[in-house]
Amino acid sequence: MTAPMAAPLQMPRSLDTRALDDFAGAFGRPGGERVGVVALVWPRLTALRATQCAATVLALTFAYGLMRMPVQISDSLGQLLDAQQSASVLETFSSWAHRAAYLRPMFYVDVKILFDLANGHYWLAYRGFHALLACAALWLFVRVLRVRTWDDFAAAIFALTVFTGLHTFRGLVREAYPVSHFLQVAVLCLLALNLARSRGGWLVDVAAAITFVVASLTIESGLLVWVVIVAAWACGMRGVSRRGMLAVTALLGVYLWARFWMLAVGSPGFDQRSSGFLLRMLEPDEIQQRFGAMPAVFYAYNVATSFLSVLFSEPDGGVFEAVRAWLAGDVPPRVYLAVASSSLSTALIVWAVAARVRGGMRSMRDESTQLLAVSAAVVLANAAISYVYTKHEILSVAGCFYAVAAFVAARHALERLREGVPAAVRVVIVVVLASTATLWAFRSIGVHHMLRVEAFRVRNDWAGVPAEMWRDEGSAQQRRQAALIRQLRQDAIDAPGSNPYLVPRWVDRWWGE
Amino acid sequence: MGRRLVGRVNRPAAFAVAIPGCLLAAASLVALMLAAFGDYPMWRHEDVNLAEAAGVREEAEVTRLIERGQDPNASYPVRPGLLFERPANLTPLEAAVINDDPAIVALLFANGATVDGQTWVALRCFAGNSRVSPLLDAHRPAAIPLECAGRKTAWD
Repeated sequence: MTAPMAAPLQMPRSLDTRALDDFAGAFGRPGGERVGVVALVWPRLTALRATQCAATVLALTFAYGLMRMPVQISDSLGQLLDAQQSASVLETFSSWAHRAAYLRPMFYVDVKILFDLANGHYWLAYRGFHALLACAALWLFVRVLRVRTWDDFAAAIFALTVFTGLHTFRGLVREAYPVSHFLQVAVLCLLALNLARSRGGWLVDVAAAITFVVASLTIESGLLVWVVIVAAWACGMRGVSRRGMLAVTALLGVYLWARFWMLAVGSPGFDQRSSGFLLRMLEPDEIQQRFGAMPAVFYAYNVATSFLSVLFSEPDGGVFEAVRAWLAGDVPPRVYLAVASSSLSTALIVWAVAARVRGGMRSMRDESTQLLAVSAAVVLANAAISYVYTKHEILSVAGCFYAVAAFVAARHALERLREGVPAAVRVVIVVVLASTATLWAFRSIGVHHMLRVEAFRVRNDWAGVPAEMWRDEGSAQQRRQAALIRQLRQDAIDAPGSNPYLVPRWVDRWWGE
Repeated sequence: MGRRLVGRVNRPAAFAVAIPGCLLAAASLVALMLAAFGDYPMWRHEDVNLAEAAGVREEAEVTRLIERGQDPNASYPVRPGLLFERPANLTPLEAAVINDDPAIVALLFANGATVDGQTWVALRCFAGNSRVSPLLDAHRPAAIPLECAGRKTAWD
């Protein structure tokens, strides 16, 4: 028995009928002739616009959190002082073009450009740029999903929570030196995928080449732009043409030649940073002692744990945190939350991949399959370039593409349900989808808590800066530096903070680090 | 019939996937509106006095309040729930010692906090072998014997 249906409503002329059909199929009554409450309130609302609205709101909340953070001291103050001292952007570029083990001139050029543009408003310039990058990342992410139907909308909303809830996103918003270069590279990789999915043309090819040059000269993760473009082309996305793809590949060749032969910059060894191994962090000398004779073992461990950490949120920075916490007798709920949400969404992705594999090469014409293939390539490549040491920020691009794969997986599950599966399977799928989406949404809220804790820590760091560093004395250059430090310190100390010690303890156990 | 079945099947599934994220977006929107009035739930700022700031590890706030002219040697009311369940009247130094925070104890001493002999003994006996003890020892008033046996402070 079905309830008697209400009389059909008059559809406004301006209504997007395709969106309405989808709306009726997914959220409303079957058939396109009836209009839901939402469509009545906002007749022009389409699935894409709804997704963009949700993404904008989420982006603004992260932007708000970022604007509440002072400019950090560690790994940041030195860059600012260098930028102050440098006469021009060109001088910054040339002086940082080749330093030992790293080729990152754009890293310092960014800092210099913002420093000059800031005109004394350093906090506003650097944190404002960070917030803009976060908004751009979410906007490009939604754009790449090409939301058309309300099923797409549901999957996209889910993917947004995965994108922002994943531990790699925390790395993107937590650290800035004083520019978040990892976030910049993530934005450029998402831009590259958008270009690959565009209608194409020579302008797109030029944009792809510029994107690669900027990303690769910012940090090493920028090379992933090449992976995105080549993988997308190989999967059949023709936004970047064959000519464009070859040009970017040629630029990669030039980069490698310049890095290893012309400038002889080389690559960092494992004596540069501490890194996680099994249950604890190892200092560089310990790593040297243990793996000096067989570095391949350590590299393989880093690649494997980096890959696993994207799929299962464990191990964390090379350390098996869940096991360590379990051995210590206190596993905080955040560990269960992270592992459960990641494992469930990875299971959904594996399901979607398995369906595509069964479809064989024919399925490569499907855009969902193409997105899955590009995502897999980027996650693997990102894990591979983490061979020296692993941490959240380095894997941030992989995190973005994992969320793209999660979108495809959620949409696959919804499509599968349309095909008429047995009732028991249907119930299981709905329960799994509901649980996974809820866990990810809850996990995403934790980013705000992390930002609050980080802002508190940074503000306190500024309070501990010795007075000798900001006292107005010494040579003209020393006084200029002191004035800069004094201003940054005052900005930080005057910023209204939120004390994490005043929030209930459960907050940190669920959302802390 | 087929269409009706499709509608019934997919509706809960699409809701299951979308609702948590939609609720998150809705909550975020409300939070942003509250932020316009300075009351963002995740970034709630509570005004604290110098002793309270010293008792909750707010080094930056201690610095700000001292630079604004608050007296590091005065006593301030500390609301219940921060250091004790009951309200208390403490100097910033007492609050920092009770919280065993060497960074803030050092900061207070560097910014003019002083202790008389009797207060020093009370604080030192309370601190025992904690992290702030060496800092207190470094600011020991001259010719003050340290006898803790049987001594009870107001905060014990």
